[in-house]
Amino acid sequence: MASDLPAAPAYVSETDGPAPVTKAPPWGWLITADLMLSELSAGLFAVAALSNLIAHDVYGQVARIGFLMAFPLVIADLCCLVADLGDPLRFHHMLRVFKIRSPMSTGVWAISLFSLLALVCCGLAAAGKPAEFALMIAGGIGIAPALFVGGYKGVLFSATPQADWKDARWLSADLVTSAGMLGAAGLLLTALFLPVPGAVEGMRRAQIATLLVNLVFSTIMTAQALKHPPREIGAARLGEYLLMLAVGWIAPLVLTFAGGAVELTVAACLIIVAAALYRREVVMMPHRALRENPAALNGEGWPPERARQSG
Amino acid sequence: MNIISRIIQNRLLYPFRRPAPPPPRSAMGFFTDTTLCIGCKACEVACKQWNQLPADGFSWSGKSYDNTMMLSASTWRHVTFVEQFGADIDGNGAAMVPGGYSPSTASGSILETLLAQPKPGRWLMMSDVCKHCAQAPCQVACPTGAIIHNEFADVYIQNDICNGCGYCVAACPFGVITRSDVDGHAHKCTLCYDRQRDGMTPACAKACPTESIIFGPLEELRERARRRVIQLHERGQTGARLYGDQATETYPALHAFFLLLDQPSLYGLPDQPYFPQLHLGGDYLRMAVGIVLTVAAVVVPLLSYGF
Repeated sequence: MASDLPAAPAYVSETDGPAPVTKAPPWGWLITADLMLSELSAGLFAVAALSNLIAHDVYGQVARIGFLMAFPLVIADLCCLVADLGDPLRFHHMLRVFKIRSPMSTGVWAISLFSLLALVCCGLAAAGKPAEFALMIAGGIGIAPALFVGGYKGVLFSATPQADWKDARWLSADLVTSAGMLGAAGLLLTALFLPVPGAVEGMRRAQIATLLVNLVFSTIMTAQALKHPPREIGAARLGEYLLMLAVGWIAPLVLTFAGGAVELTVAACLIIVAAALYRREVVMMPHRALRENPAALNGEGWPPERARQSG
Repeated sequence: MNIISRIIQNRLLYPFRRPAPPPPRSAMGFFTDTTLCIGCKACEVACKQWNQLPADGFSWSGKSYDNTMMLSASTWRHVTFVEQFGADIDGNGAAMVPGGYSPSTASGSILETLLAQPKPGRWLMMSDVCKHCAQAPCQVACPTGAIIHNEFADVYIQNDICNGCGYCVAACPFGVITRSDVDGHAHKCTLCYDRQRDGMTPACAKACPTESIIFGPLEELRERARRRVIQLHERGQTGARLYGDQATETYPALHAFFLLLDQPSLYGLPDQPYFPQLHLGGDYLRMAVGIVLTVAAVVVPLLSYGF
C-alpha cells in the first residue's frame, strides 16, 4: 500500500511504537463452549446418520441415542451463541440477511437448518420403531448441514486478519474432521454403555480412522499457525503442544488399537477432553499471539502487557 | 396486549423492514496529511463532543502525549504520537530523555546541543480514524447487515440493527471497530453521517486548526494529496508517501487515506494490509476436503465391519 520511495533516515524511537494493529475479538469461554458443543452435536448427528444408513441392524440402536443427544447439545450451543452476543435480545437479526461471503452468516443459516433437522430426528428417534425409516431419511438429509456446522467456524476464523487464525488455512478441515472424531468417540461410548458389541467394533474402527485423519490436519494447522509470523516458542509452550498431542491423539490411538472396554472408554473420554482444550487454544489464538509476539505483527516493539483486547 | 403488539412490532418485525436506500451521492472521505498535524487533539475532542462520546479517563500512558492509546467504541479519532531522535545524538550513545536533550550534555546550552545534532529528532503525529474501506472487510463479515456503505460511500454501522456478535471486530485489519461494554454494540467513526446529510463538514475536519484533516469528494482529495507529496519531495522529504489512496493487489482503496513520512507500521498501520476474505473460496474448498475425508473415515470402517 505504501509507495516504493526510500525510507526516511534511521531514527531511534523514544517511545514503544504504536500498539499492535488488529484487535482480538471479544470472544472467550462462551465461544469455546459453542465450538465444542456445536461440533460434538454435529459429529454425533453425522456419524449416527451415516451408520444408520450403512447398517441399520448393527448401528441403529446406537444411532438412535446419537440423534437423541445431538438435539439438546445443539440447543445448548445456541444458548452459548446467543449469550455471547453484545445484545442477546437481537439474536434474530442474524436472519435478516444471507451473505455467502460472510462465514458467520452462512454458519448461522446452516446451524438453524441443522437444529431444525436435529429436532425432527430427535423426535423420530424418541418415537422408536415406527419412525425408523423416516429417521433414516431425515438423518440422511441432515448429514450435509451437520458437517457444514462442524467446519464453518474454521472458515470464519481464517477469514480474519487476526494473528495465527489468518494463517491457519486448514483450520476448517481440522475442525470438521475433529467433529467426525468426536462423533465416533461419542457413539463408541454409547455402544460400550448400552452395550452393543457389534457396534463397538465398527465405532472403534471409525474412531481410529477419524483420529488419524484429524491428526494430519491438526499437525498441518498448528505448523502453519506457528510459522506465520515466525516466533520463538518457549519450552513451556512447546511442552503444552506436545502434551496435548500425546493426550489428545497419540494415547487415544494406542488405547483404541488395544481395544478392551476400559481402554476404549478411556480413549473416547480423552478425545473429548482434549478436543475441548484444543478448542480453547483455537479460540484464544489471537489473544495469545498478541501477548507473545506483538512486534512481529506490527513491525515495532510493544510491551506485552499492553496487548490489546476489545471492549 | 399492547405490550405484546409493541414487542412484536419493535423487536421482531422492525429489523426485517427494508426501506428504500437513499440515492447515491458523490463519494466523500478524509485525507489526513500527517506532516501538518500538531497533535492538538482538537479532532478527538470535536468528535467526542459532536457524537456525545464519553471521556476515556485521565490515565497517564507514559507514551508521549497519548492518553487514549487506540481507537475504541468511545474514541473514534485517535492522535498517534511517535517520538524519535537521531541514533547518534549523544556521542556516548546514551538514550535521550523525552524532553529532547541528553543528560550528559545538559551542562551546556540546550539549544546549542540540539542544533549541533547531526540528525535532529522528529515527532510524528497522526490523527487515526476508521479507514472507510471501499470494500470493507467488516461490512462483508457482518452477519446482520448492520454495516453498510451509505450514500456517501462511507462505512456506517446501523446501531438499531447491530447485535454485537463481534465478527466485525475480528475482521477489521486496522483494529478500528470495537464492541462497547456499555450497550454491547459495535461502534466506530460514522464520518459524521448526520452532519454530511445536512451539508456540513465532519466535526474533526472542521475543528482541525492546521488542515491536517481534510474532508471532501474523494477524487479532489486524491489529486490534492498527490500534489502535496510532490511538493514535499521537492522540499527534501523523500520519505513522504500516500497510504491507501489507491487499491493494491491485496486491499481496496481507503476512503480515509493518509500522507505519511515513514513506514506505515511506525504509525500503527499495517504495512501490507490484506483483505481477510481473499482466500474465502479456498477456505470453503478446504472445508469440503475435510468433509469428504470425514465421511470416508466414518463410512469405510463401518462398511468394512457392519455391512
